[in-house]
Amino acid sequence: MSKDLVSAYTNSFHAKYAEMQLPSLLGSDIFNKSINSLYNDNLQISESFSRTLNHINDLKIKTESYSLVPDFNDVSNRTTKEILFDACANVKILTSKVSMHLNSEFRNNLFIQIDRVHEPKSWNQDDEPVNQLSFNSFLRWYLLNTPEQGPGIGLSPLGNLVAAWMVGRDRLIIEFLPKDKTKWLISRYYNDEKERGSGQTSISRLSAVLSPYNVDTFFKEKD
Amino acid sequence: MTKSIYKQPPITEAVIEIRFASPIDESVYNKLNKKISDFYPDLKPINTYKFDVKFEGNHPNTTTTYETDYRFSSSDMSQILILKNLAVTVSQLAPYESWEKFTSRFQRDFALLKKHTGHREITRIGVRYINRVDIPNQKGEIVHEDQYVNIYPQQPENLNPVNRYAIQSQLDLKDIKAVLTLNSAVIPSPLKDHSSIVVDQDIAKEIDVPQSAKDIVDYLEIVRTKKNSVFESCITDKARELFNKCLKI
Repeated sequence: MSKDLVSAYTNSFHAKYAEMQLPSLLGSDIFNKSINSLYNDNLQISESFSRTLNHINDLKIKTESYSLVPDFNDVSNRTTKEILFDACANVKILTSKVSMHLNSEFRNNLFIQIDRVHEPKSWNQDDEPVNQLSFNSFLRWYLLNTPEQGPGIGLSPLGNLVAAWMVGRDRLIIEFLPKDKTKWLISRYYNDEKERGSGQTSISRLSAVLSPYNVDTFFKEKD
Repeated sequence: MTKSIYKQPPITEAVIEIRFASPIDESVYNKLNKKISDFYPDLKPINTYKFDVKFEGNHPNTTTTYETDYRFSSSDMSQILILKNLAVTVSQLAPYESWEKFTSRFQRDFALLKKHTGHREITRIGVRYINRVDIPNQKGEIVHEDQYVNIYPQQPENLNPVNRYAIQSQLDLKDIKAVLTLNSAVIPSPLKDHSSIVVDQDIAKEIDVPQSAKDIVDYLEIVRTKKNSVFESCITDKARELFNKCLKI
């Protein structure tokens, strides 16, 4: 899909990002002070509570999982290449959480496309890399609907995943927003007459909302 | 031996971790980079902050430590090798293909590391398997965990059903001189219209720890049987059905 088309479609979209700045907090006095202030003179901790906390510490699982350990790398000084690599890596790890339910062909194809849209050489500095929350909405929709024909993948300037299907002159474009929300745009030709529709809905309702447009033609595998 | 091969293995992550008595010099890792990059094209230093609070009497002592680990990964991020100051971790995220593939990758990477470090005392071997049971639940009803797992909190009848839970138990595996830490919890499902239960087991050996590559491999084969047996004991036939039912394709 051309970036112009995506840009035109997504100009009015807004996404919220919440980014934890843990590295800078951890390195600062503010972090240490705030933690210590939890245990200042005004707060009495009983010995039994202390023992309980130490006991919990002893019980914790000691073989470190990779997928459950957060990445506290400092994000403030990353190069564009690093930012793009991290974005791709994060959504691949996100995909791994549901990989047992995906066929390998779809997964491989998805990763190829994700890498391609994050190619550093052709990256526009004003764009945002893929938003994990949007990507998550896409995965959840995909596993709910299991289309036979995978989409072409693009990104909105805000980093939302845009999935597109094309059959002849017909187009279906879905932008996946965070928290299982979508925006969609469809154009279809009936007797050489163009019909267009667009809207916003949740991933649960998307199938029902698009049903008058007979979208199965987009989702069925081509011979 | 309990052996189960499911169409959709519920394993979200498998980990083998070896810990050493003495730290590995960073220069060893730098030398290793070139060799290992044939298998793992992506390398990323990972900054780890560890924050500990220990109580001595009524007074908490806090310590914050900072370390740099090296994470090598396959381009699809499913195969991961982490080199730490005192440990090497081989991790397989889903899709998990087989024990054979996973352990042969471990053997390959460990042999490469050993070639550069020489003999080093091993203080701990940990094998961790995190499994997730995804239960269809379109109506968002309360899932009766006892239908899917055999590890859950027991409560008085009048306090059931439970919305969510997280429990942990620890027991000695005397026959292999190891400790099993078992977690089970209801977690938000990554799938729409599903509920999920995690069964997470960590088998750790800190007594009579095997030191040679051959002994480690032999020990891992024993752990394989053990962890399969633990997992199969923790799930019901209804859960097994889910692992053989394809959500898609």
